[in-house]
Amino acid sequence: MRQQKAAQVTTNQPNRDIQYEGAGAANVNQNSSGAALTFDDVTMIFHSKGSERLKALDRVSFNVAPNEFVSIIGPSGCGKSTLLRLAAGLAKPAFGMVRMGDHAVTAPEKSVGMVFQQPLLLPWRSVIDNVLLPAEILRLKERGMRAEALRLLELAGLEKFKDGRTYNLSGGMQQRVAICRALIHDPSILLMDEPFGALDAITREDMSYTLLKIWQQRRKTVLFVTHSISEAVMLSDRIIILSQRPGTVREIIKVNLARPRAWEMEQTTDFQKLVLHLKGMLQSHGK
Amino acid sequence: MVNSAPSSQDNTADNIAHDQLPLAGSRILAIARAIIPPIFGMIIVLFAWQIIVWTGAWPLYVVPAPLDVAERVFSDATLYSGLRVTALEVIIGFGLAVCVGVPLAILVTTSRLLSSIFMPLILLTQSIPKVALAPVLVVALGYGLATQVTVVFLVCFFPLIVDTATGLRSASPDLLDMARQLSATRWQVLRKILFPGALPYILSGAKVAITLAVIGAVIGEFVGSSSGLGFQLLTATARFDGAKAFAAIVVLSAMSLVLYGIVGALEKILVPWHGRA
Repeated sequence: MRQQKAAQVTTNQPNRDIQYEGAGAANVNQNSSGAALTFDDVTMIFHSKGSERLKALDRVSFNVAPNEFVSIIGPSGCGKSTLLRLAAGLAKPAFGMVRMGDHAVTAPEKSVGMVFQQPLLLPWRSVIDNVLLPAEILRLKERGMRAEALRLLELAGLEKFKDGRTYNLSGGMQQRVAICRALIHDPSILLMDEPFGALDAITREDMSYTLLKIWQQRRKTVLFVTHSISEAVMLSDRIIILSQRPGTVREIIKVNLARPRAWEMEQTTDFQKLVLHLKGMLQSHGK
Repeated sequence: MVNSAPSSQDNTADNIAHDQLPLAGSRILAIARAIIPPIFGMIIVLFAWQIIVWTGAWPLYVVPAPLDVAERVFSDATLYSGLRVTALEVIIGFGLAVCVGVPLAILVTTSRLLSSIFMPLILLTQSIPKVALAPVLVVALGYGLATQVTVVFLVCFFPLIVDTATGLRSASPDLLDMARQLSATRWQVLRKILFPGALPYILSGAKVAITLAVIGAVIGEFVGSSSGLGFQLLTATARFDGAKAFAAIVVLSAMSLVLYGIVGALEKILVPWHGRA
């Protein structure tokens, strides 16, 4: 009996996907003029010491629709982090153009929130004051921001620790504070550079769902660099696969799983097909 | 999922509380275990020293009896007027080194031009042995406070500026990128990220500096002073008053320990996250 029920659930899943697919597709606007972030033929070259030149990215083009969650996956050293730095305006491409909305990114971009592999919290500040750091730098009104910081911490399940010390929190909790910090100034784009890469497997999965929950509440355009295939599939609307250095776009995969995502979806054939496909792509490339 | 984290935190808090109950008694034992053996060792050494003195193997002006030294430490008022002078030299010289060294380190780390102007000079002052410099300073600054304070300043200055500069350069490049992406001003970056981040380094530099400061003050007094514990030490040995010379050394060491303890306590107050973040 129980087995039958389980089978029913799994066969039901794809049907739900189809129902939601239409809405998802409408949400994801592929038209580049309406895109939140556009990479247009971007090539990045680093000049190292001497005359040696290192091409990190080679004619990378893609766009991210408003409120879309896009993951970037690829072998180490393929220029994933460089891509995020370009989007934040912290580096300039050698050729091509990065656009945010309808303006070219030429200088550091304030309407960006950044999350790194390490939480990089300031130990001399309380949890809530860490969240408020970007607001202070941008000189936003303190009173409103404090309330917003509290709401974000609540969303991340950390309201109890708002006045606590960051070094008393676990790694996963610290990273959740870092996510709140990245969102405090209501950026239009969230750039995440392997944010869960330093966490253990169980915490990591937990963090994915926390991130999804926060994202569900505060819809943002997200560019998410990861090494984890299942993480990319579980979180993303689309996944961009980069090749080995110099990084080029090998494939852009659409993830047609229903939202909100739930961990049971990992059992669906759609999920597993995508994971297998991505594994194949990344492995065949290694050879 | 989200709620699981706070509850797990509560569990760990419970565990700590449970663990501490039986610990309360054993903690006193642990402290006793840590303190009694070294005190015992010290008593043995002092006792052996006293016995050797009683046997008369060495004359008293070379090795005074520990009991005589102790008696001098508690009764000789000149030692305490000397202590006041030496402590003043140490505190002024050290304070000046902090006031000059920390801002200079900030300047040197924020500007490449200033760094190339000042760093060679700073290294040059450090390459000069301070003991060799002291007699020259006496000629320039005369007998008195100015010479000693200058020697103290010179010995304290280098560890402070080097450690402060290291601390200012220790900030995470990612964090600085984040600040840059938010168009933070230089002042904001310094005040909100760099300086507080450098505090643990500044304080460990200060710990090294404060012990060197006492040495500097004594050297300064040896070559050009008519007061202070270094001067007392010098005159006592000249008069073959071994007990007073040793008493001066004991008071100097005690002062050094107390000053080090003060900087250490300051570190605990200012940098409670040290070693944990």
